[in-house]
Order: sequence, then C-alpha cells, then structure tokens
Amino acid sequence: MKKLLLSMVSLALFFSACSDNSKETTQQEQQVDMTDFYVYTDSQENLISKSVNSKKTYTTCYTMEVLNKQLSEIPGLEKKMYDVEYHTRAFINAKGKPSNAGGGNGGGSNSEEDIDVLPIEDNLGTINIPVYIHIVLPNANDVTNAQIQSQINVLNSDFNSANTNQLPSGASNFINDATDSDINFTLAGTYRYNNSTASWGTNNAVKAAYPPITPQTHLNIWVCNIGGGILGYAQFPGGNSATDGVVLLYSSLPGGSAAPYNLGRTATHEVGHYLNLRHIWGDGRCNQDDFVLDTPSSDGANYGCPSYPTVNCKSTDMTMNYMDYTNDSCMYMFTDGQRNRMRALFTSGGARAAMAAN
Amino acid sequence: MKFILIILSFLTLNNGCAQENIDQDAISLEYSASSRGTFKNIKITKKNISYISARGNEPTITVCKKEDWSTLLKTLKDIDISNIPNLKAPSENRFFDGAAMANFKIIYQGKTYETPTFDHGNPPKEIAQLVKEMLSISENIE
Repeated sequence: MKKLLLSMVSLALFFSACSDNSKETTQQEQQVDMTDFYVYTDSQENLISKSVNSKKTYTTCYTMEVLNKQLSEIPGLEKKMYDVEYHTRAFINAKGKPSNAGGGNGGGSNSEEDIDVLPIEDNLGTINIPVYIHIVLPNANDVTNAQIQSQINVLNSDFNSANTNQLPSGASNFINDATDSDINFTLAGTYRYNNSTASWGTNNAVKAAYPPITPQTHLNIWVCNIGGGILGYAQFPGGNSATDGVVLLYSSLPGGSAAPYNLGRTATHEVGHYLNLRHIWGDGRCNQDDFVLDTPSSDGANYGCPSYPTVNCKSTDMTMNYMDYTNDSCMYMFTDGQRNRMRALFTSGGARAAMAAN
Repeated sequence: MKFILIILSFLTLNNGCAQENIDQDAISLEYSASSRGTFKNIKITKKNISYISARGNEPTITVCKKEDWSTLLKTLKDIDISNIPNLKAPSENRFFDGAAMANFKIIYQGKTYETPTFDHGNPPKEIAQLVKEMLSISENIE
C-alpha cells in the first residue's frame, strides 16, 4: 500500500513538473501571442485547428470540396494575413502600454472596466494617402466632382477628429478612447467610365474591368452599383494587389440617395478594413475579438441609431465606432487602439509601409 | 447487465425512428440575412410564411402552400438537425462587407438549432438546398 502511495505521489510530482515546464517554454516562445487570430473561421473552438500553425487540418477539411476559386487561394492569403497580423502585434507589443484607467482617467459612468490604450509614438507624423477614384456607372457623370471632394473631406475629418463632443453624456468612459488617427487623404485623380453593368456584385469584377493604379502607394476607390443591398466592401491588407482597394455604392457618397447611409461614412468604414480593422464585434460571439484592446466585446452588429447604453456581453457597446453597422450620422469615432493598429501598417516592415513615403 | 443493455439499445433505436416521422406541426424554419444596408427575415411553418424585407418593418404573413411545405420537408429529411449548430461557414466575405451575415435556425419540438453566422449567398453545403428553397419561396411573396 505504502509503495503504491509513494509511486502515486511521485507520478503526480512528475506530471506537475512536466506541466510547469511546458508552460515556461510556451511563455518564452510566445512573445507575440497569435492564438486568437482568425481569418476564415467563425466558432471559437475551431480557432486553433484552423490557424496557420496547423494549416494541414484546415486544408484537409476543404480540399475534398469543390468550392470556389477564392477558397483554393486561401492558404496563401491566410499566410500573408497572418504575417501582417504578426507584424502589427509585434509593433504594438513593443511600443504600446495599455493601462487600466480606473478612477484616475475619467473613469466610467458605471462599474465597467475601462481599458485605456495610449496612442503610440511611431515617428511617422501625418500619414498622407493619395487616392484614385474610379467611377463606373451607366452615366459616370452622375457622381459629381463636388461629391468626390466632399467624400475626401469626410475621410479627412473622420481620420483626424476625436469628436468627443458628440458622445452621449453618459459615455464618459469612451472619452479617453476617441482618437485622432492623423491620416490624410488627397485626391490624386478621378477616372470616369461609362459602363451599362447594372450591378457589379462583390467578387471584384469591377476591379478586374478597371484595374487599380499603383496600389502599392495609392488607395484606389471604385464607385459603382454593387447590388444586393451592399453599401461597400473592402480588402484587408495582405491581399492580392490587383484587387487592393475599396468599392463603394455610388449612392453612399455624400449627397447620394442611400439615406441613412449617404454622409460618406461607408467610405470611412471600408477604409478602416483596408487599414486592417475588423468589425468592432469581432464577427463572432462575445469571446471573438477584433484584436483591439480598448473596444468593448460584443456578439453582433448594432444598427440604426442605438440609444446609450446598449449593453451586450456584459459591457456597453461602442455603437458610435466607425467599425460598427450604425447609421452614418450615428458613428463618429475610432479608438486609440484602432489608430495604433492602422498606423502599424505604415511602419518599417508593415504591409503599407511604401505609402508612408508619400 | 445484459438486460439493461438490451433496453438501452431499444431506446436508441426508437430515437432513430423518430427522425423518420417528423412531427410537422412542431417545426419552424427561419433564415435571416443582415448587413449595414440590407435585411431580410423569413420564417416558415406548416401553416404560414412570415417575411420581413427591411429592418423594422412589420412581417408580411401568407399561407404556406402545401407543395412548398412538402418540398421543404423533403429537403429537411436529408439534414442532420442536431448537427446544425456545428456547421461551418465555407467563406468569410462578411468580415469585409462582401456579403450580408446570414443565420439559419430550426425550432423542432421546442428545441432551437441555430447555425453559426455564414455569408448570405454561400451557406454551408449541408443546408444549401433548404436555404435555396426558403429564399425562392420568399421571393414569390415579394
């Protein structure tokens, strides 16, 4: 009996020693924690099995299925997006120090934890992005030069104003999050193409017909009719340069007919994606993140013009964030964490570093 | 011991059989698609169809035609209902607004089985035919 007990104890010791060991090594290896990264998955339990680290599992899941052309291109794309994400996190980890503001930094209207991310000093100064606009419509003059300039102005305003004066009086815990991204947009050229295509869809057909101009250094925006109720769509950094850019529904431009989405905020939202931002709810349930520390977790989009507070996942949603799905007039902020994530792309080794030289 | 095993196997066998005779009055099918600029919601039972074509609108309710219901039932028989929450979205275009967010839900005998969110226009292949039937039924209402 004694012998058995002894061997059991030693076995237990052995196991605990083992697990301690493995913990240490993983901590050493993971200076950049990528375990929560997702590109093409929805449910939390599959994050690991579908991550780049175990691409094999992922490939075998789908190779037997005849899906679409895009899916067969995913393995390469997934790796590129992983690399972009890795660079972003390495940069933020090295420079950013999130702090829990608590009572010291404004606090909150309630007992919710207020994570305050500080803007990272990246020495890039104002980032200037020149923009090419491609208008593709049956009558390309339907979108006027004044509308285009107005759209550029909206982008400049949204990426350079914290708009804290617009926050509801109760949202004091969002004040320290609202940011000035310090990214400027200038119109580099407008191209008009008369094309009778009634709806271009979301499969990049309009980009194939009218290819982007120097996408390495310029943001390309296609303005056309998309169809299916889609207001615009983007491509994350790391994707194919032949399709790099943003597509907007023509009527979403300022003064267009797509009310309540006609103040030019669709462009702001899509450029957010183009600069590596995810939807603020993380495109999943409460535990799926948008990879930004100072945005609250949520389990779905908000629509319309929500009243404050709108609570999901035990925290107040930042429904006024550009990366939510609310009306143009009801979204007016990015956070410091989103700013850092976007600007990381322009730092040395980043996916859009060539643009910082503009 | 053996006796218990035999009873157990009978119980599981019976469960298996229950799938064959679907309790038609206890089924409700629901499909929704939502993006910033678009919304639709379709609910179908044996009795009627409820269709909402814009966010905040009141549903349009029509009678579910016998032939439509039998088509749906036929398609439904090929689907493993209990596995619906485990289905995987074959594409993720909704992450960058290239597709509306879609959900499919079936309420059967008081229990709800809901898919994870997938791209509108590209459902998991296991429910693709059923979703197609539901959408075409709703289009006839519009």
